[in-house]
Amino acid sequence: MKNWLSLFVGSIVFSGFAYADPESDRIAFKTFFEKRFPNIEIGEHKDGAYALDAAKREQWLEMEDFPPYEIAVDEGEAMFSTLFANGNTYADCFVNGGIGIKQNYPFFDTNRSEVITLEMAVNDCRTSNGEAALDYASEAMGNVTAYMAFTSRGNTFDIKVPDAGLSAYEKGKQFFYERRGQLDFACSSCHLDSGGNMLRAEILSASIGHATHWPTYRFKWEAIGSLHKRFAGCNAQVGAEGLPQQSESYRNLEYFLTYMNNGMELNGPASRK
Amino acid sequence: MLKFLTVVMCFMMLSACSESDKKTESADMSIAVDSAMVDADALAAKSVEEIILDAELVYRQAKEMEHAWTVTSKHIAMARKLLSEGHKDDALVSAERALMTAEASLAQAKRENIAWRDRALKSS
Repeated sequence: MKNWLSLFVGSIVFSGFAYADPESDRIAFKTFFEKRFPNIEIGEHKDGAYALDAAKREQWLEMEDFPPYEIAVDEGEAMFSTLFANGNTYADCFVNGGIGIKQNYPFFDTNRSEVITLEMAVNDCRTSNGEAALDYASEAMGNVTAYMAFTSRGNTFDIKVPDAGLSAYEKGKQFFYERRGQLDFACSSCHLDSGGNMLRAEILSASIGHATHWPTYRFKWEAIGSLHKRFAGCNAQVGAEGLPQQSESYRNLEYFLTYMNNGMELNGPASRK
Repeated sequence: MLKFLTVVMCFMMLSACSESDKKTESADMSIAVDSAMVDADALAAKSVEEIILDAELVYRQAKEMEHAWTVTSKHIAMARKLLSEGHKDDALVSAERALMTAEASLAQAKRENIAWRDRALKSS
């Protein structure tokens, strides 16, 4: 009897170490940024740092008159429409023919027990139709996901975290808050604690809205690139070795970040410095 | 009764240990760096090659935890290059730097595996 009582009390007192409720996390996240930027509607953070500075926003909007990602979208559409060797297309792999579906990604696949991103789904589609998988860092992957993002503009994220996905979500959350690299920075160091502050000549964007606008044409890259490419770049900037694109940790991080963006409008592909 | 009190006290101790502020985090980092400072006497007894091998071992451990630092692999590569060119003294400097940064990155990985929770936003 005494043993059972100890176990019962122990389970209660240690319940603080159980997985957090993602929705509570999201509300806390949203509330933080509402307080941090009281004059900016949460939805505006989909434009990143350009939501935080009027002059930079004006310059950015001028660039958007001739979007640098247009070519990627056109080439992606051509890829999307091209038949595989077996006569199928990408449309045969996705709901709604793959049009307007990016808000469903990433999701936790309970059969495979892992987070599936849009890029992984594209490659799953290719390999299941006898085509070679695309390199996740390739221009081709950037192009086809740019097109799929473009067709999803205006839709809102509604990511789910089933019980089986809580571990992946929690690992993504850990990655976000974990310090790494010689500079000992976490994602949260810059994009939560210091969001809106200057880092050298740039304004640090807020984490809320970070998942809405990918893939992105970055002028620094002179190419369109994925969110995971940006993760690796950020890691390198703080002195940490980046991970391969579509590694489990980056997929978990994307899962967490995208959940934090639930209710926000997709606006990819986008351009950034 | 004794077991119940033990469980409660363990919880209270763990709660106290988990409370941290930026000063504590800074202190933790100092401790991590201090612990990474290699024993000079122990190092002196080792060859440059042995120090490089130690650094590579710790680097792989940090990499396994996805916390390797970019500077560590650079120091390792530089140490090997200098050693192969016969610049033993310079190779020793790079090897020691490689080992120090490798140990600091591993200490960071172990610390952060728990410390991140204190940083996470809490729901009200």
